[in-house]
Amino acid sequence: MNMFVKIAKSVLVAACCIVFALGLTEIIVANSMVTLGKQVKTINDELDSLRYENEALERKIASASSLSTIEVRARGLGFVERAKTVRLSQESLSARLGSLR
Amino acid sequence: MNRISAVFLFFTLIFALIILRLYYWQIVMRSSLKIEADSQHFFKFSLPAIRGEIRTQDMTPLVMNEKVYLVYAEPKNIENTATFAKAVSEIMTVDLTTLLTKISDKKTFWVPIKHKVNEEIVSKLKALKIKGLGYARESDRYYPESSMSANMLGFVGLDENGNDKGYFGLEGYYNRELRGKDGSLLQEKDVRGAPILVGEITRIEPENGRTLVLYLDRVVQHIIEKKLLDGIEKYGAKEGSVILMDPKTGGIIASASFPSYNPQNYTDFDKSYYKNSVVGSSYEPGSTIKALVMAAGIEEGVVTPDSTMDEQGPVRVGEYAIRTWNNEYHGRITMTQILERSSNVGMVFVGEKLGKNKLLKYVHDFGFGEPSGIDLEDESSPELRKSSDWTDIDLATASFGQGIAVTPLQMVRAVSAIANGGKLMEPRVVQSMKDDHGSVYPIQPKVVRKVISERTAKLVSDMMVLAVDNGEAKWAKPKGYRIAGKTGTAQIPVAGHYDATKTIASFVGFAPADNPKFVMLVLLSEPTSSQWGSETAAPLFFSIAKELFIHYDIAPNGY
Repeated sequence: MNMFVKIAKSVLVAACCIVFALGLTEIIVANSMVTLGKQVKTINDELDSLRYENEALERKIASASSLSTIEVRARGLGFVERAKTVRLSQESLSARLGSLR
Repeated sequence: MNRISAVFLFFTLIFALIILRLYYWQIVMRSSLKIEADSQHFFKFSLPAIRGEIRTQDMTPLVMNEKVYLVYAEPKNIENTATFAKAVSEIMTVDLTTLLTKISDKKTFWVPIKHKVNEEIVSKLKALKIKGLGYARESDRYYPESSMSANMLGFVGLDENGNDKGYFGLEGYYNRELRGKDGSLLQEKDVRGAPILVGEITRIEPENGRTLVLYLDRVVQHIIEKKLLDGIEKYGAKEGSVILMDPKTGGIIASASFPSYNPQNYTDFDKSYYKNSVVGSSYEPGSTIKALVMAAGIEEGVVTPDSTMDEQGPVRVGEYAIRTWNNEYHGRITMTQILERSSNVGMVFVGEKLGKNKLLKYVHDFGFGEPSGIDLEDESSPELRKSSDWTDIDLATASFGQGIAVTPLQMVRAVSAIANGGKLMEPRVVQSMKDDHGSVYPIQPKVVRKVISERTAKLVSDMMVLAVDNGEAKWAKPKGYRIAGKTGTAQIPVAGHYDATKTIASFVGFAPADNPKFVMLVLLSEPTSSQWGSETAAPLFFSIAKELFIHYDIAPNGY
């Protein structure tokens, strides 16, 4: 009988310890997660800011590669529109090469 | 006993009052208290969907998004209304009196000052560190190619609730697909406003709008816009349009109309500029329709390219005499020569051979008198008279393109049917849509009907090539290329009669004639250097075509 009471007491103490430990763990985890909220907000803000920066860069690339910008820059560098387009045919090229031999 | 009853009554009364008070707070005030509590414990805000972009066929962006702000005032928190209004109105260029009126009512919690304010101005406002001024993120459209294809794109404005809405062109037609669906976020927060991760979170992700991928080739678009502007100036025209279609798919490769506007600041332009005249305005096609009437005649077997008619002089239809454009007559001529010389008298002959019912059938079959079904918001189609209302003179003039109204898009689509072996295509601007997850939704080309046989299409193509090679505009044609085309000069009807001094000059054609890469219509309204299409629209067509041959790497014959 004494043996049974002893075991019951041990189980009760162990159960209490487990409950206490779990409770303590939950409090610690919840506490750390609550404080993590601030960090999450900071990371989210940073993410937003990087996303907007990325979009701004995409817009800059698109503007810089627009045809009107390229045309203005090409003119600025001294390029002019071609006056005439000359096409070389296979036959005329062969004839020319033949005459050179 | 009386004292016991009195105490009992007293406590019952107190208890009843408590119940009543509880009823008031729990039942009557429940909803308003819940809202107040929620606002203290939760973030609740909308997650706006990002509007889809619009890209050309090589995926270059034509329309993107840009971060802007809605600037608002909180009158309750403003310390000095006059100082606030002066400082803000100077930076934001808003009217001082209007702003003062908006913020003077201290009972108002929130007043919007201006939408779509850019980052630069917001930075200046933030530097003021003024109380009672707030900012909410918004999105605005950004156009890296500036005003390129403005009439086709349309623009984004605000609806009656202050939300973004697409108007005109693609923005209007595809507003639902581009807009997407807003999401929302409900998250518990702590006293400092940081989210509580173990708290309640309800997040509905937004569905961003779909990106439209067009048939539009931005190089071709750039070429035609530049050439058209030069052409309008060179020929002293009031307005001008160019439209290019891929005859195999019905895809619109490029389209331009001037005068136009810049969608970035569309409010600075007159509203009449918003309309895309390529799909929304009508004109009398003049001689360009002759190729279509001739195709009908050949398809019905009433004429062949070598059939002849006697062009002796003006032809009488009822009380009217119909002349050729230059009042010159050539005796016996073939159908091919009728197109080459653009003979009105010859076309009346073809029209009479066809008869009323067949002529009207082909007018309808080529897509006139009905909307083409293009995916642009501003399409309109001029109505045709009822069959019973057509008189002999109406039929005679319609055979050479007067007394009948079409849109530039209808005309280019009809000629596409000759270029592609007789199939009338449904014109399309968008070739596919792409969602946020990378799924692509292609829009298949659609054949509306077969109008003429391949044989007829080939015969008429050859006749149109000869019309270019031997016609009035042959001097401007690039050498070595087979280009099928037809000039047109139509007088403009004004108050029931034609104004002899004002014309619409046009040229429609396709190239290379045997395997067309594009069908193009050039339209100049009221050119002053010359009223004839052969001296204005045709050289502009050929000038654009030369550039396109280089762009598409199409060599002249024999190379």
